[in-house]
Amino acid sequence: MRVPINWLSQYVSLPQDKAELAERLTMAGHMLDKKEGQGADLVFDLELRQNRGDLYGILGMAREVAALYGKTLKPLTVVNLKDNKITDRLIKVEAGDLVNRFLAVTIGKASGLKTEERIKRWLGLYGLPSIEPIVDLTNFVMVETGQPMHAFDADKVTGGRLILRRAEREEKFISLHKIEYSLTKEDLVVADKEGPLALAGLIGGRRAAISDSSKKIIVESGNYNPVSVRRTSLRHKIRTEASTRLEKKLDPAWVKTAIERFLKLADQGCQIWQDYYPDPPKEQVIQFQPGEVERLAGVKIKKSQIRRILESLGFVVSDNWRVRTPGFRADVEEAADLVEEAARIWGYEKIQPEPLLGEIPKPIKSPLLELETKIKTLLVGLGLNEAVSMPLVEEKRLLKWENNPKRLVLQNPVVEELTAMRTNLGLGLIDYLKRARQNRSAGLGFFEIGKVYFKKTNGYTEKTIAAGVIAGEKLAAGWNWKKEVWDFYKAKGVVEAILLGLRIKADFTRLGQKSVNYLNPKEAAEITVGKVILGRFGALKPSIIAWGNLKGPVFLFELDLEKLLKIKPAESVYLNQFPFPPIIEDLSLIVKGKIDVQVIIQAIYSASISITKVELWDVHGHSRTFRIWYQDRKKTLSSKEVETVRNKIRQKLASYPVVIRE
Amino acid sequence: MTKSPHDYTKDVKNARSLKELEKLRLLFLGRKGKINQLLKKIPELPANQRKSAGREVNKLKGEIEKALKKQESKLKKGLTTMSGDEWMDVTMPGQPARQGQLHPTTIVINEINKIFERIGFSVVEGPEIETDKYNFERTNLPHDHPARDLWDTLYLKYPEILLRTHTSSVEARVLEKYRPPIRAVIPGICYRAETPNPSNNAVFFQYQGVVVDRAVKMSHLKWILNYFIEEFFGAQTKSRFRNKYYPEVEPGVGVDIECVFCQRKGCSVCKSRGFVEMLGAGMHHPQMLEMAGIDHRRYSGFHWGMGLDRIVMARFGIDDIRSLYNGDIT
Repeated sequence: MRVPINWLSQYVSLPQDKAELAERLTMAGHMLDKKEGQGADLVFDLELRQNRGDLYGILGMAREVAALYGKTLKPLTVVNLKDNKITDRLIKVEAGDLVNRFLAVTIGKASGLKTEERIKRWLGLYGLPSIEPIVDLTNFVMVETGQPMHAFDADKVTGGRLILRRAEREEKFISLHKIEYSLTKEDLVVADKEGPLALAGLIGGRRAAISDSSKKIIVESGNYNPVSVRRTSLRHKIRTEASTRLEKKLDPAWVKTAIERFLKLADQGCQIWQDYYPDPPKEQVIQFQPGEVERLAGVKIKKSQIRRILESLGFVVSDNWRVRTPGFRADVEEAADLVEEAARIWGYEKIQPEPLLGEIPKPIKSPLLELETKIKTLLVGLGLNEAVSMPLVEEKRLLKWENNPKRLVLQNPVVEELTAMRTNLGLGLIDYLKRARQNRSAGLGFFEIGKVYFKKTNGYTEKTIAAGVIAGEKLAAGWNWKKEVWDFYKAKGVVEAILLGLRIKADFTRLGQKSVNYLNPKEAAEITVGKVILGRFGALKPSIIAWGNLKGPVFLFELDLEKLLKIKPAESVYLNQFPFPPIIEDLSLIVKGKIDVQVIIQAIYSASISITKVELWDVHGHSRTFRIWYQDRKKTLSSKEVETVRNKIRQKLASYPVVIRE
Repeated sequence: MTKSPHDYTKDVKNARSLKELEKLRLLFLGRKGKINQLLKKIPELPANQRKSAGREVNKLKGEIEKALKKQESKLKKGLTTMSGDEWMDVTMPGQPARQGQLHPTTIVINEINKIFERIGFSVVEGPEIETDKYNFERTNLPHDHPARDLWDTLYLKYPEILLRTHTSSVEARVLEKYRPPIRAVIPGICYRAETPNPSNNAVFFQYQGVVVDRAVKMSHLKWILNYFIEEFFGAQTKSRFRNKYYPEVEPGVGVDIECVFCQRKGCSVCKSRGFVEMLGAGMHHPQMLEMAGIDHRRYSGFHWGMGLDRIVMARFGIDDIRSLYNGDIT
């Protein structure tokens, strides 16, 4: 809120050093956003607390200054309404649940009425233009006290009575700004017999607007249900000086003060008035222990000083520290709130930092987070870059990737691109790939460790997945080396390296029938440990590549971290176990039927425990050459012993569609 | 006979390793090697040329064998094939061994985690799909608070199931699950009903911290926040610890740091304020402790939270928040 300093000085004496004033206000909870002008035109634009409606008036700020500097507030001169004629025909409240208080008065308007120069200036510095003398006064009192009010041309109010009711569905209302609104049953209006005259708490209508020719005026001020005001404001996208104040809890007592102040400034006398105030709030009392200030804030303030601070803010403090909160401090409900009042006025800068000593708590372990970190380190070392993509995606796009009936859809999305929760990380990863291509980076890999979300029989579930995409050039051609392009087995090597790094022995089994929408079933595998499926790896389907506007081939892997956590990592094998040198031999086979290399390797291993390592060494058409390590813990194997093992291998391989090349 | 003898031996002389040499041996002299290929072609020649062709091929074979032997011994002795005063240009680039990079947000989170783990904090995480209970009720947000509206929060099933709007929901779970003393930090992704634009995204990262123990005060909070600012932003960083309102805290604190771009003179980054808002903090509202089953008369606590994206953007010079989530920063 913009606070013209000269205006502020009307209610409390201000220190000379305005910069120091700004700093103290900032520390006390009213941050200086910017300073404008100087001297009589100096304005502080302050960012105010959202839960203190009382601050949105110059008087409220003046009270803060008075408390900060130990000054007294200058009292406001008002007209006493008591001395005037009450009526019961000015107001009719039909929506009592939305209205806490509503006060209206009628006055005459002298034709020569003009806005005072300094009021014009202050309003201008605040940011409101001068419109018409009565309107200017309602604005002035609103900014001064923080309590909004409105004036109608009484002759244009049909039936002479203001009715507070809910609008009808689609009832029309034309505002002062000539904009037409279609209202709802949730909107509170001030109306006459003909229809709405104003949206209560927000803005007045054209119909009964004040003009220079108005002779008789009805001035009203109200206190409404703040939630209702806010909803109406959002619903119709109307934000005014009045609505920003009435969205907060204001003190209903100020309704009367504002009207009485207005009458004093307008000096037009008062004809009749009516006050709807069926249920004044009860007084709030807090039993306070001044020791709480030291206990919570960690700063020592003398009891007499705490008392002085609270009293200067409007609290009434009894001898035994029963504290009555003023009506305009709806934000103060308990002892902790009073501690804050004392500490902030005393000055947070006076709190001395104290190191946190005390028992170091038992660590909270998170194996999932630890695994995440491990995998990230491995992947970064393997040359992949980390991606972070949006967990919210466009449902249409998600369905192109995979159609999971358990996907979650937002009930109130704001934009079309963010309507559902991702069921797979692939979608975000190919976006990164696309962007990287646009930026013409050489072929890459990206990985992401993040959550995917699903419906569950009794609720919802989030799973943490590590996924990555690899595509393009593995190595760009250079002055001394040839270009290398990613292919299935090179990419598989990355996945194998992750598993090796985690010391997990997993198998790659053909995906085949258990197809997945985005992977090419002929070029994809499930990563398994026994019956547990840890994840998948394979080439993206050409149709997906085309849809994603990518250049193929693109390889993708995904691993379920929760499943990974359940697998016990293998023990590291140290060379000391086999101190005697191995015999290494090659064995070449011709493959006659459909058989996986994995099966052959398993068969060879199973022939004897003296076989410690089997690797695929060469591939040539149907020919497969394996390199076999023969080792024993206790001795170097003799050629006879090796021959025995070799025969065992031959026996094992006899039952497979292979022919050994001798 | 296309290539002259000179070419073949050049390849051999340029071999840099025994492996390369072996490859060349196979290439030229192997069963399917070039020499044998040439020999196989001889019968195709006219009869009168066959003898001389055979002699040539054998001559070539001999030269290649000689060159291979010579190069092998040179390599074995560790001599390069360069003559006397040639040297290795060590400034020429080495073959790239790819090293990947962590995402900027991860880098920042890791750094901040370390700062707090050093003083006894545990890093904790929690669900993103939350209930009204842990996201709002347990964080002391009153029932009619505007944050609960459909305008602010993304719902899967209004009003019960939503996407968490702050990491305070995880804190509420921590307070319920563990007995004091508690020291925990919570990095995490949060959601809000927002149309993405360069300064605000519907999805954003927050970093939260919580301490609960006996006799914990604002003076301790000030100390911890100063410690963090010094460790993360540097010892020279000026900051201010002022009163600010948040529903979950009482007293509430806002911490700003001096704008590094203009040193408090005012600029577009700090919106001419000279200070940039960094985090919000405060003592736990007694209600928040009580709802978690912690006796607020025996224990007190404080917590703080900050938006990470802005910090990451400032650290890495990124000016559109959406770049952190869509791959623009590669």
